[in-house]
Amino acid sequence: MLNELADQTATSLRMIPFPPLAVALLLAMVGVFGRGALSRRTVTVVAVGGLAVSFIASVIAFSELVFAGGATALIDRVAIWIGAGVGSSALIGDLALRLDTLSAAFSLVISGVGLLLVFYVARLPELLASAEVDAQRFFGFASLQVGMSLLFVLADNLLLLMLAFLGVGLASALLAGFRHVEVEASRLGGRVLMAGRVGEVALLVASLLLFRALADADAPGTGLAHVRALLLGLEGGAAALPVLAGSGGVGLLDAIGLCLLVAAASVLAQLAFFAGSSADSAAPLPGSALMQTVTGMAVAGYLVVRFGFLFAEAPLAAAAMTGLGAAAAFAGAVLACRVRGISAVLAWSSVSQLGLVLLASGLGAQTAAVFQIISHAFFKGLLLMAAGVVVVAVKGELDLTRMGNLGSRLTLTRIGFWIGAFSLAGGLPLTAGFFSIQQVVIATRAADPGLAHGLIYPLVLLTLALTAFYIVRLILLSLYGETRLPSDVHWDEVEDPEPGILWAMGGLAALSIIGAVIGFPQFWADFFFDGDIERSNSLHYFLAAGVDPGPETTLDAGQTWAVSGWTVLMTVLGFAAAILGYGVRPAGLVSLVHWPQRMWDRAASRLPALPSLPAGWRGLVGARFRAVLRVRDHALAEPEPQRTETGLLRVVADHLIKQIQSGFVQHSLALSVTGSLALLAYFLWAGGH
Amino acid sequence: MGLGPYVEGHVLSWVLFMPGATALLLLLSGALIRAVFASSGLPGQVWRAVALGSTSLTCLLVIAGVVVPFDPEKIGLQWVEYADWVPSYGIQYFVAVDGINLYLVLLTTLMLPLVLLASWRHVERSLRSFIFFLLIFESAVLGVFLSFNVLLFHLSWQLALVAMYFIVGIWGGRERVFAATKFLLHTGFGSMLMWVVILVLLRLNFEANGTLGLDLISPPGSDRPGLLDLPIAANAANVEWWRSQTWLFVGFALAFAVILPLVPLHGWFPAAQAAAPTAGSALLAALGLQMGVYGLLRFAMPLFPDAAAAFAPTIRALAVMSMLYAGARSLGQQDLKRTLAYLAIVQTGFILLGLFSLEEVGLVGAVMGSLSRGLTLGACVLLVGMLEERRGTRDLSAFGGLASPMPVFVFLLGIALMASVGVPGSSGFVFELLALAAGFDVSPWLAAAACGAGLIMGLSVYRGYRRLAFGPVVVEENRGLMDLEWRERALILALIIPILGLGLYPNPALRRIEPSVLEVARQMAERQSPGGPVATTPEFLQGEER
Repeated sequence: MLNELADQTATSLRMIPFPPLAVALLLAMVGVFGRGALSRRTVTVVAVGGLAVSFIASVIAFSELVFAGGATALIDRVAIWIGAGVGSSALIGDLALRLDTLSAAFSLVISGVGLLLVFYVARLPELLASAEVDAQRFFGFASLQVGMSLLFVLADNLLLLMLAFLGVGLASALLAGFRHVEVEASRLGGRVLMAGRVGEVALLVASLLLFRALADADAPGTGLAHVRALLLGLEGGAAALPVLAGSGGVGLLDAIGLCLLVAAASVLAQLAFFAGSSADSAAPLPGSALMQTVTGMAVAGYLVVRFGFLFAEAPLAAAAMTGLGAAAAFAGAVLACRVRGISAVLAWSSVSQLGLVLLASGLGAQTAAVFQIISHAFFKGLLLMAAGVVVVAVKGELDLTRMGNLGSRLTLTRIGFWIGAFSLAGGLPLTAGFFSIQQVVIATRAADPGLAHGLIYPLVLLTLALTAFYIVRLILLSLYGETRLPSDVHWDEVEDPEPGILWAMGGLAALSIIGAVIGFPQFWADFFFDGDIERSNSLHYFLAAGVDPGPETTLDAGQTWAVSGWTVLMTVLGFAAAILGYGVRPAGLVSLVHWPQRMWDRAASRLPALPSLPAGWRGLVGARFRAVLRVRDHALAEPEPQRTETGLLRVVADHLIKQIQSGFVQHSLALSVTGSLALLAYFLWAGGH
Repeated sequence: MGLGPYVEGHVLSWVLFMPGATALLLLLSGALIRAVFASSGLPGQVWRAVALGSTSLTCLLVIAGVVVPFDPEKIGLQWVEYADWVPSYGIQYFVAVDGINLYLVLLTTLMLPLVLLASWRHVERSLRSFIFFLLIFESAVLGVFLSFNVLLFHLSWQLALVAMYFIVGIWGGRERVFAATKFLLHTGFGSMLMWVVILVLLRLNFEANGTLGLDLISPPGSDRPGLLDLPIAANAANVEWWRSQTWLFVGFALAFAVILPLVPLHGWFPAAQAAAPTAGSALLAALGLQMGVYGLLRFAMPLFPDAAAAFAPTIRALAVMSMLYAGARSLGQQDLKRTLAYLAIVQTGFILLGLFSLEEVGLVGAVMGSLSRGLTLGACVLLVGMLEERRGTRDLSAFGGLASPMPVFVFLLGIALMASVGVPGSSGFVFELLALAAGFDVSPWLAAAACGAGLIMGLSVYRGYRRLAFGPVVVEENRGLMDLEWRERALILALIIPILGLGLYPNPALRRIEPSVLEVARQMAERQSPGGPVATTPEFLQGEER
């Protein structure tokens, strides 16, 4: 039951989460008892060093696991933590770490990307305020967050999982409220903390329900093992589930699943709080958002994938997760299209991407979920780094409408941006994002042809179009077009960052592309290599050695082509819309797009304003929905094009056609793109009939 | 009639009497000096230094003489001291420790030196009397925790209340007389009920055995019956009503519920907290309240197990209602100490939930909870006191942005508050986990509601903390506030370290608490009448043994 035989003891595991935690503790102690005792340089060296040790330990543990020969997991029992009771009501939680394939994948990603991000912040000190104490606090909090995330993915039992979950929430809150002198920042910190607390209590309830159910379902002689297995050893839990389900515990499993979902949703809420406040004056530091994005995503994703076995037995909870994921994916993408802050776009994007992960996991496509998390860590890390470079170049300005044309100075950063964008948008083959997104889409397409097929599949495709739109919009507004910089920014000072940062970005850019090999779908392997590669989706088979990732979701060839076509089509549509709206910007199109918005404005002006909500929810719910439809920002520095004519025909005649004939290359390019899209759409439609 | 003394060393007597004896000695030598030298007696500084020395010594004695050599494997009492005192009335001097009171005794002796240190500067008025009452209070609370004779317990209980009455009434803030009177009326009512129950127990024991005796258990090495050997009718079906467990339990439970405090008997507590001086409110929150938990677990539940089982669902419901009420009340509080008072009531709810789940895990959780509540609330109250000492107010609106002038204070307060709302890694989490684990077993919905109440409390604590610590410094007086000095940091760390220690490595404590809790559970199971409610027989007693 406990699977202990297959576990192999490895005391090196403690070197993964503890170095960053020790660094956090050290920095906290220095903060309390000797402020300013450490120089900034020392602080950064210590913090980066802690994470480097952790990353190396992850790599070693990973290779140990791979070459362990037969062991499904490595285990490191550090100490006894809580133990009370005897017999079947015993409640025991040890400080024990367990590394199976799922944990190994996550610990590699978290420690690796965490290391890169912390290194990046260390090399780009303008991201933080200048005082020494600030650096000390930031690196302390960041180390705490990475360390707790690692503890979370390595926790051997639910109690430790809970501890780590709250630790991550606490670190997020500390990072969110970093500028605590600002009321808004401290409010944000409070919201993030409370969300984390809600999630932790939900986890507590889930654990205790499991505990109770297992004590009730106690079969003779296995009671103790059951309880230990389910409450404590996550691995054995899967084996004990049939006992629960068999004892009429399906409702119970749903309840437990919903509690776990609340915990995952609390992370989603934390990300939304971050995103909602990113436009405020007291926005969290870009560095904070950076850490939050990667760790939050990993924590929530790990939680749902780890308990995938439970969701498989809890249809209601799984359906709720799918629905929540789809809603978050869509809403996050919509909001990312409308906000003006560069970090806010990326933060809403993270909400949207986590939504996709929840969606995939709810549909049982655990490999797709994990792959999406991994590739997201790569390309979002890259995009965040590039965005940080831009923000530093314009002296902390976050507003996209006050940038423009920076690409001509930040040429290397621009390349990074485009690679990240292609991977994020997922519509272009040969990036990691393409294959991960495609697996998610396939999962929705292959899902039970009920609600999921009818609603979620198109919704996901729409989300893809929006994703392509907002990321290209971000790039066009910041890097292309006219210069609209704040007056205190000197054009000559805008330049690419130092080589160290470029190397870090380059590494992530490379991973965003070659990361595709991690989870290369069998379909494409057969297509490209003529069936020479048998088990191309290495992530799937790797995970399968430790957890049950479900069957690899596949469709028949025709459907797969259709899904691929639609994915590409929607992405290209999103790209094209963004280019038309922000790059080429033909006035007639603008007017056309503004028409529904004007209608909506007119209707919305008659609606009463919604009551005040916390910033994150205000963003999600929308103080007034009308702004959602705003494709083009009013506040661009240049004036609106004069609209003297009315009526669609005259607009088209006088503006659109005139502009197409203007001789600009981009205009004819736009025309050809539109034309090829129309053709592609027709073929796809024809192929379907 | 007497049995003669039975002694396993005198360490507990030293611990018990040292503070009180110091107080009396100081009083006496003061009077002597005054009489001989016609001076004004011993100066207050000497009192303070001697008191600090004596209480620290007591603490060291407990650590070196009791806690370290305590045998965790041994079931039953250790360091028993037994001697006849007024045997013709059933009063024996009977003190001992086991896993249940071990840590409470340690907590008591730890708190006193800290409290003395914390009020080192700001108590000026009648310093000598203040120290006198503090020392008497310590001895009295130790008496409560150590006594295994019901009458000795009761006398100590009364003495503790009286000492606290004076501390609140003389050295308190603006509404001190009102608060002290309210305190005495509430707790006095409870004590009265307890006294009546004790008299009934005395009579029942006399009728059954022909002797007057109020020892809780049969003293080691004698065949003399203790109260736990006394059969008491489960309900008033065949006996006069006052002989039944139902009524006797209600008497005890009310006395303890007042001091726990449990809504609706809590009225005195926020008022007393707000009015009492820092030392008084710290002692009240850290030690006074734990007397109620201890009384329930040590006396009320084993003596009247049938009634405890019958009332358990009601008490659990009351506990959760009490938590929800306190959580809701705390939301709008401006006074920091009142917020802490409601926090204490929420913790009471968790403790009661664990206690009246009547399961071993829950009972262990309750003991742990009472220890954790003492540590966390003690730290919080002392910290708030330090702030009040600097600014002369505890009103939330007077603060804001303290993280800039007082970062260490804010950091330590953050840890103490998080521990008191049960964040993982702190002692608060361990006890809430154990209490809830048992709570979910007996009534999942109530336990879920308790989680909700805990969340509300967490919200209100965080809101208060945010308004205190973060944002811009608006009030000019706050700009130049001094951060905690070394004395203050050290004494808060003396509480924070055990809080984190118990949170991260609670097992040594749990290992010592558990056998004694098992013993109490065994006593209850043995005394339970077969016809009475059976739901209580703890599952672990039926099945496997350790």
